Amino acid sequence: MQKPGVLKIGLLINPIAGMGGKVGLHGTDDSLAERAKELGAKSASTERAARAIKALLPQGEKISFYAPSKAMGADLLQSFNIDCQKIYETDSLKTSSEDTKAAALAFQAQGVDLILFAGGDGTARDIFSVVGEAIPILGIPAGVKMRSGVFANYPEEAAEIILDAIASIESSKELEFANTEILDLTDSELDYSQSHYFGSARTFSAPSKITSPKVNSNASSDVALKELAKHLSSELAKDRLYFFGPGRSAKLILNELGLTDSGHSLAGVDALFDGELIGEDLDESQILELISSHSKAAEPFIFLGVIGGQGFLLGRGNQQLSHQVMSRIGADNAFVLASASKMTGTVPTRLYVDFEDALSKKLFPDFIQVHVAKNRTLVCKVVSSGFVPNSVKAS
Amino acid sequence: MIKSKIRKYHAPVWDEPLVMQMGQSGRRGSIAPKTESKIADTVGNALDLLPAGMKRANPLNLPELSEFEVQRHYLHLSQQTLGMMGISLFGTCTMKYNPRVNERIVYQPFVAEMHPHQDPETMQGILEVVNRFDHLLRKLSGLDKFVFQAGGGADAAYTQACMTRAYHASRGELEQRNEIITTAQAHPCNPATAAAAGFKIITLPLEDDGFPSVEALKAVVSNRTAALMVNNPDDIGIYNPHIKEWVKIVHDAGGLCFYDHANFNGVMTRIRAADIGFDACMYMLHKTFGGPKGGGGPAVGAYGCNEKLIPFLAGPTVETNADGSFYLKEGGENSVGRIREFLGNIPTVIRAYSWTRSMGIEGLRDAANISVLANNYMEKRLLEIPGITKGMPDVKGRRLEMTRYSLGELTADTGVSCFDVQNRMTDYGVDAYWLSHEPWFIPEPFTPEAGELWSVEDIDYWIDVLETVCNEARTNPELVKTSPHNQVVHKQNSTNLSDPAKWATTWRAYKRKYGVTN
Repeated sequence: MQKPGVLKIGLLINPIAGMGGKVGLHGTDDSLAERAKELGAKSASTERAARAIKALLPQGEKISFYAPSKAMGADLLQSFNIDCQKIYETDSLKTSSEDTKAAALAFQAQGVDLILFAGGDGTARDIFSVVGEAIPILGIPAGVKMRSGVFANYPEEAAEIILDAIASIESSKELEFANTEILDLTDSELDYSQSHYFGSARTFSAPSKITSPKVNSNASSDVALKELAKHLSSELAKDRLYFFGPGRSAKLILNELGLTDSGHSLAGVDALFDGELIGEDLDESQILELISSHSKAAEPFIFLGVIGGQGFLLGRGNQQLSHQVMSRIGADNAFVLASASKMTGTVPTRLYVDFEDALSKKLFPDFIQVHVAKNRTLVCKVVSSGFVPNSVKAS
Repeated sequence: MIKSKIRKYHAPVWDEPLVMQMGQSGRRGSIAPKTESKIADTVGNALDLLPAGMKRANPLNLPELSEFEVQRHYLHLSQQTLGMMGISLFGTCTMKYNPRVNERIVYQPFVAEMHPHQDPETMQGILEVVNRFDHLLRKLSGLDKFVFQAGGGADAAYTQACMTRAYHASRGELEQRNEIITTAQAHPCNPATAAAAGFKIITLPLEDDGFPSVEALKAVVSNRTAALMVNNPDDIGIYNPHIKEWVKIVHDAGGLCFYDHANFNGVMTRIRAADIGFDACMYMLHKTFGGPKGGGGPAVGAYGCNEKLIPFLAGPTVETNADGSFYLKEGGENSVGRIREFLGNIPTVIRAYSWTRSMGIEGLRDAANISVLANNYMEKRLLEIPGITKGMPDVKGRRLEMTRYSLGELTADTGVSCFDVQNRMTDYGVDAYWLSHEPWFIPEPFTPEAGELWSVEDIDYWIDVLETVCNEARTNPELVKTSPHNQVVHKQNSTNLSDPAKWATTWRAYKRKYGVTN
């Protein structure tokens, strides 16, 4: 599709993507971005994009970059002394969905081979709405929720996929692409457990490096998981602070206690003490505060679910459970539960932990047990961000 | 490329009503002669001789048919039997011919008319067969004692779970050792029986190379480990080369190791459970040793263990007196007690003994070799069919006696699923193939296994039928999706299968649920 050794990449950064995570906003679509900034959120997507670009540097001369101006791409490339062709002028810091769409249109006009973007599902949707299946899309994971199947597991792996593609072109091998799902929450609701399908996009065929699309939860129909939740709900200590991560699985325990009504958000982190819900939909600082104010009680404990089909334990849709939070709680006090069918659909089974605030800080052991029924666990290998994902292949 | 001429096939379809709905009131197959008057005068009314409590208050509701109608009915039913009529490469089960001569043996009065409460001195021949077969399996496994009480493989796995409980209880460690480790590819009866015996189950996942990693095992083995329960090769044909290390890791931690060798076919005479270090193993006599597939009836799970575990075996066991005669010994104080009544399904033990003796060691080795060779022959041909891929294709090395395949590509191309292909193959007089045990991590799976029974012509024909159906999926997918068309029954609407209000497994339930009066 291009002359040997040259790949034309359109780079797009959504500078506000992912800002809602730690402050518990579940996204930064539309007005949420302003609210996130008010709450003190920082732009993480540029840093994440930088991790990917840095990993591309050894082969930098083999790539022709195209990018929108300023924070949407050009600034970052410039910081690495990489030349790029500016294809679209943005208005300084206030970028919007319209900018993303306009840039995508400009990429298409330039005939890029690939659009590499740093953002979340909203960014993926915006690009997809313009280019459809015509141009392959690869995401550097930088959003709060990333349910679509176009994101690399980690920024470095996005770079690895591109490096593999360059190697293939150089040895005259055909690049392999696959169709995948663009998924997102609907605009009107925040039903965390269900994704909505927006279409079929093209991305690289690299199953071990690209996160699969999220599979909708079947936790509420899994009787074994329900029985486990019932058992757990009967064993909770009075003098202990319990947290419940986002998603249906962990919330099943609160259901058993009769503490969730129909309006209860599945997307948030909740806290329980002495049989009472003392916090709902908490952000990072509120969680840390609760831990401090209950320091005389038994060590805090957390129930966590797993994102179906994707294997993410932390770092997707639950960024408020940061490294700082999780190290205060401790890996020994984290209880992971998920339906067996969610965990056994793929080989090998991996759990991913992606702490933005703690690259290379390992919190979990190499293997942890995921509880799928009362007295029944599946052993899963934990892959933490910053811990060279290649080691996974080597094992 | 299709090698054979695909033969026309159509199963008989009789579409007859149930036997309860046939016949006429008062119709009889045979009528007993009336009691002669002289006898009646002497004996009185025969019914009066019966105790009142034994008399039936209401007559039985039996079908009323002539003898000929009954014979015709059962002949038609036999023609509509779906299994083992054509070529059956039903994987993980190893479909074997059951030699008729063995059936003749077990129908002899010295087997068929034995009573389990007979004095052991009057059943020395039977006990000798049990004892001899025990010794044959000791040779094949390297273990020290086999028993045949378990009524199938899962029952033998349950035996192991009970033995594990008894063993650790005898050492005062049962409360502490409450975890049993198994793998995602072990047969589900292993975790199920361990859970039934009260253990917590830890399941190890497969890695890219087709088996769980040593590191994963090490991460979960501890002083809580009661036992390891695994099969090897697993039922996708991959042999875990680290198995000796696994056994050592678990033994070092104080756990027991159980080898689920239900399907021993690919490695008979090649590997022995005890040589690898296992404490116990299980063989299903209908998978490997020529016993009949019984639909839950006459199966046997042969369970063997080493010296360390013998005190925990279920009694009674067959033992030898000093004069060479045999006696039955009840289980001792540490025994797990009965797993099943009496000695188990003795006729199947006799069939298996006869089968094994006629095969001999060389024959068993040939059978193992042929089953692996046949599988690899099949693999070469199957992978030439567009749309069929090998399960876990990146795993290097040859598969043993079976391979799991995926029709995922065919499904993506045509919308025809592995179920549709399974149905359609029966239209050619080929028996339905086995799909996969749970969990299904290989999309649209199927698992054929040739064993040593099927000739190369049969294997080729089976593959030719599969290729024909794959071609049909591309040219006429609706034909495949709506199949079977040439079978005894056609595609069933499965919507009510899980609705208790709709299913009826007895005539009484059918009448109640469907409002039938007769």
